[in-house]
Amino acid sequence: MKNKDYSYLYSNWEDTVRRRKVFLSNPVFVKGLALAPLVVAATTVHNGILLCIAVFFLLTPTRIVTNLITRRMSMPLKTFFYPFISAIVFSFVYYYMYKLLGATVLVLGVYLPIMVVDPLIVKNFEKTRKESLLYSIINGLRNTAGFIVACIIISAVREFLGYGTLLGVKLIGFAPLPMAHNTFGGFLIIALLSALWAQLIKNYKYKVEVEAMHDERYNRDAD
Amino acid sequence: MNDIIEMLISYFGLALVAAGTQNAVFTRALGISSGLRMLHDSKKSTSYFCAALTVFQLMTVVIVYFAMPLVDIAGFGAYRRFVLPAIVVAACTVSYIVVIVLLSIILGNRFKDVVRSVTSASINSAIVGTVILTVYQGMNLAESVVFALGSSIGYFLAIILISEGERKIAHDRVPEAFRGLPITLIYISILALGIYGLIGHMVAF
Repeated sequence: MKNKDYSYLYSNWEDTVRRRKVFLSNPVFVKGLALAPLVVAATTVHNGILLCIAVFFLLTPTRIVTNLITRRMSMPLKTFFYPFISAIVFSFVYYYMYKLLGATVLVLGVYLPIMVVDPLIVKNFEKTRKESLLYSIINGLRNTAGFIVACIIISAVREFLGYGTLLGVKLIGFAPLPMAHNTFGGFLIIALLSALWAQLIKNYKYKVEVEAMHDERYNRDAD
Repeated sequence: MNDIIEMLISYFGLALVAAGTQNAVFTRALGISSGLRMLHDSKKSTSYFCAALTVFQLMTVVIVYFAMPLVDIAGFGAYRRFVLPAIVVAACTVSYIVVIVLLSIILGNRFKDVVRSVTSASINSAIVGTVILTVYQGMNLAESVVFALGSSIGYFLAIILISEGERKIAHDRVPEAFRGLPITLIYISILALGIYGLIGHMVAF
């Protein structure tokens, strides 16, 4: 990355954080959204992929439909339209997932249906600010990408530690941390990954700051 | 007489299980994201939030119990699993409208103080998850109500424990990377480990 880019990132840090939902404002590791399914159900990569498919087909379409329908609605109505649209979209997503993947979808139990009211999907319902359709799509896709990255990391770590496998393939002959597939193991592993994520963000911010200052000094010397 | 006492004991046991060993937060992680967001929002009150959640949960479980047979009558019986979340959300909406109208009449000018907490409690995964569980487990009306009541009491206790824990954590002594969400989740994981130690197995979901 060029120094000029670092200067731009540094001077627009708040905006950069808001835009980079995969890394700098990850919905799971930074904001703590969608924790319930990840803590309990994301114990294997297979389960993680099922959650990712559901979120992919639920998050952005819900935002688009809600954006189109609730433009002229007042807040109290909008509050319930958002989860309701999410639930309607989910009904189709769940039905087609069941048709295509069979009973394997049912292993997630209540953790797939509760996604319809998770703050990851309906977190905007308390906001009064209206957003454009394009912004809804871009923001929805960014959040989806952020969730998918976090979900795959968490489920892969938990599967390896809890069963010694990855995607069902045996990597080692024992489970390094059998508690990883329990609820408390889920909380603990997400906590440790969030701390690691926070450290990576801190390192990145430091790098941006140093490069931007270096660039500023270089420009001053050139003048 | 003995039958009544036996029934009361079994319902009390069910409520105890829902509040303790099947705690919504520590064993099922239900409503954890909403709970943490509520704790970090100074404009929301923990007690109003949890009281509203209890009322919504009880009303929703009753509405859903009576609405589910209508799905079969309407000929959508084969799809009840897929439409269940939409029915639960619709039931939450009805509960919310009833509660908001009643509160605005009862509280008058003080209504504005509670509306934010009440609104955020009206729709979250603690309510939807618990209600869906009662349907999946085929509970009757009394069992559903008792389970929902126990579950919301358990949620209230869990939120109080988490908020007290957060208050007492000396954040300046916590490594910077662990401040905020990570240290709170570690604290919750220790409490969840305690419950797991008590029951010795993971609850079915």
